[in-house]
Amino acid sequence: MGRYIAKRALTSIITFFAVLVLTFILFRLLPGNPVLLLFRNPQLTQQQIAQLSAQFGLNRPLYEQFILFIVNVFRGNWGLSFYYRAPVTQVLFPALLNSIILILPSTILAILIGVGLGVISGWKRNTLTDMAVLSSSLVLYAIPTFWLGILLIMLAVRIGGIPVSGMLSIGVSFTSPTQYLGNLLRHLLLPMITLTLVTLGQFSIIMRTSVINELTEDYVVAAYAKGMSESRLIRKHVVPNALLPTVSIIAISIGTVVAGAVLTETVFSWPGVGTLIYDSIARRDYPVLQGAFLIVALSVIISNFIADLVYAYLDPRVKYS
Amino acid sequence: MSDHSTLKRYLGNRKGSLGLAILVVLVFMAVLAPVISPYKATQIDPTAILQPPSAKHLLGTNEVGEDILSLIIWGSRISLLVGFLATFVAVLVGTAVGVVAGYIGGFTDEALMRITDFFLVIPAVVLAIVVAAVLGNTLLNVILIIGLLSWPSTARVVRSATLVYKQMPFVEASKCAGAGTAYILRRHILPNVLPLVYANTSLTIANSIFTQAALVFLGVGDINDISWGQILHFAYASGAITAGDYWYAIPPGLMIVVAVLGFALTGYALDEVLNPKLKAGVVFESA
Amino acid sequence: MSLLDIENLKVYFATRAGIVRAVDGVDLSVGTGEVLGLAGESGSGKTTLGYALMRVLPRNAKLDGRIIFEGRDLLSLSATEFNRVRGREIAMVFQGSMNSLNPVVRVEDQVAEPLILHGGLSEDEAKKRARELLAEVGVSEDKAKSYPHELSGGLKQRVAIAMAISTRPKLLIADEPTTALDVVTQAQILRLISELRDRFGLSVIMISHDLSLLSEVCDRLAIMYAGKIVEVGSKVEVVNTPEHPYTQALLASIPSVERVGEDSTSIPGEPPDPINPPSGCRFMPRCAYARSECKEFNGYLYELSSTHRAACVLVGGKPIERVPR
Repeated sequence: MGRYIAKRALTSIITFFAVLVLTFILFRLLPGNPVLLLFRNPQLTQQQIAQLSAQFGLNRPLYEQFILFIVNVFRGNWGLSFYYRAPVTQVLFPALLNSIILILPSTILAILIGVGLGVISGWKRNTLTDMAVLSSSLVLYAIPTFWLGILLIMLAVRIGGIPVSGMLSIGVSFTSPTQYLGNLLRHLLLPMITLTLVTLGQFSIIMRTSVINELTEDYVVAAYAKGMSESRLIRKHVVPNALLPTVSIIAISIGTVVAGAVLTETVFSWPGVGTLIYDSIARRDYPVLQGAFLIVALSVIISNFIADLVYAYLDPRVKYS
Repeated sequence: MSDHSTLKRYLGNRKGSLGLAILVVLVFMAVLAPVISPYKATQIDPTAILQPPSAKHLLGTNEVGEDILSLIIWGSRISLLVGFLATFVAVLVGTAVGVVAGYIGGFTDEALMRITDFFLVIPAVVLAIVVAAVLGNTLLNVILIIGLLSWPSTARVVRSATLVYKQMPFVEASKCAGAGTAYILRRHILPNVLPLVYANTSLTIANSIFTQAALVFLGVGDINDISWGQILHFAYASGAITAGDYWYAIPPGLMIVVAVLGFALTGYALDEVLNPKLKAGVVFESA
Repeated sequence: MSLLDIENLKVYFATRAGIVRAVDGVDLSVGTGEVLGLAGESGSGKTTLGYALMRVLPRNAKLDGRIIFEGRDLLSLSATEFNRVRGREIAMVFQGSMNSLNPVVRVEDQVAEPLILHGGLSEDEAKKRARELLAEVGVSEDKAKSYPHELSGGLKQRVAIAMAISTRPKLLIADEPTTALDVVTQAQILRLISELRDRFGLSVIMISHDLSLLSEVCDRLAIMYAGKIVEVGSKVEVVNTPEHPYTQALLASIPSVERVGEDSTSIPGEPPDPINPPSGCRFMPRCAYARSECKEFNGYLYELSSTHRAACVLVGGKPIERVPR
């Protein structure tokens, strides 16, 4: 198991390094003077430009610039947001926290519901139950995140009383932590429903396929021949095995979850990294965009690594090797 | 799909026929847009601003007085075009990478597969947003970006199929007869591998349509090209959503759902028909 | 007295191509403490017969006939009622032991499971008993906590057997119990099964394509071809005086030490299409002695002795009373 984890960790590190290379190339492709583009501050004096150029090594050869870029990334020196006039990291980390508040519960909920529905669907395959679960999963998979958000907003506006934008009511001073939390949760409701629904469809389809594949395995017949109920067979034998391929595929699709999160945040103006990306495009705030991309890529890589650990924990063939 | 029985089996598949029917309708809609659309897409009716559906405007109008139904019909062109062209790019790259990795093997395979995994893992939509923002918002850029981010799944499918076919006797025979690598790839490997790509292609189109809509909605891509995502972008940006103008917001989204479902169903059905599972499974007694 | 009487058993599968008659009117009985060998080529329906006795068949299967086990017709039991027979009174060792163990469950837990299901034992008691059982079949204590992938093929097969006999069933169905094992391990597994029979009076149906292997351990032999029994008798009768041309061909195809140098003849031709079997005798298209009467033959088993029967027009004896339809 130690070797497996070490190998996966190494892959993650290499992937992150590749992301750094990609980011470096991408943001050097910007036309125009990088300093003017990166800082877009018309009030910059010649002296400031020179100073910034030196700090980010923009007057050096490309390979030196690259090394400096890497060093700066690891030092937490991610540049300055021209819009906020503050270091990118200071802009980014509160947004990241807000994103986690939305994404973490939604993803956990989507996995629990999606996997559960997939098990039922695969077990009862080709029955009416299966048809119902599979069709709704397919529709959820096909619904654009932002459109589902739009539908929920229209519904919420009609019902009234449910916040459809932001994370907290503006201009309200909260008298107690419970009041604050209650307000936050009310704002969280719609974005969380949206993200959970669009994510669980694919999880349910993956788990269904996985369960159906396991049901063709010899060990399932052998276990059933011991004289147990179907539900015990599914619970004790099929699900623990069907989870393995599901975990690997969920790991690969974490990128899709992140994309869904970006769209959800934008539609509901949830002040997370997604909304920050959206705003930064409009503001041409490239340092923030670059930082946001790095942080998103890093989160996906870390989530993948966690999925690898979960896999190793679930599969004795990896755990005890 | 060349032989008759495969076609028959496909049409016997309920998912497959539904998917195919959707695709036929969509393609007709895009091709015949000038004929079936009640108005020109950008024709403005100044007397009808944000009007709910009526006999004159079956799906109502938007905030500048354009006919929603006409916008949706014309919008199918860009949505489908991006779907098809981006997928073409993806399949081209994916097939090339997959065949080369699978056939040559060794270090080349290892390196190409690492790159494939990298593109599989990084959040494609976010990268697409960033790249489009940096490189500029033209339609061609959007097509290229989506295409160049969607090839990994095709590459994987093609690679595993190539690994199977390169062991086949006819490839060995061809090698002994002195055929070059390029010839073997073109004559023996590709014709056998391509049917496996069809199912994957269909799913890639679905994903491309999806991604394009998402990008346009976020304002990435040419905001003047009419597409379903673009209509939704303006519906959201103009405040029609919070005003409850359902006729403006519901139809374009519904079109995306239907199109994605159409391609996805076709893909699943092709997969079932072309790559049947050998084992029947299902162990429970009939009782 | 027989423990199991199979009467006119039919297992049909509804497929897109048509009805597959996998088992098509089989009569067979197994006595207490008897080892019956069931031989046939792949596709002859022998494995399906085993699955039918366990009632673990795909949904598209249709069962007909009677399976009388200790006086009860198993096919008339409800699914819940049969759950108390399956794995408790009748157990099965499946073909390919490598795949018949759950890869993510420790082997002692897999052996303990039937004891929890049927024996009413607590989890701890069942595990303790499972370790004893594993020791009985030759899997040492330190291996009991292993996962299947950590064991050799022979050990996995022993675990599969321990799993099947844990509840002391009366009938064990062993489907190709020794395939994919080396010769030494094969012999050990066969000896283990014989021992279990001797110690517990276990009845065994051993299914295999390998007639020589079956003749080593079985008391009686039944030969199956295209869903039907074509010959059945004591081991001596079937091996020394085979009456059905198919049995003769099967025996001739065994390479043996006494006949080194002679060609071991494989049977020419292909087994018939299970959807459209030939009318009359199903072996006729491949039979060296085929003649015109064979076309009208209706599958009678002719009585050659009180224990020996064969289904061929060339056989002299008289048809037995109950005629398989």
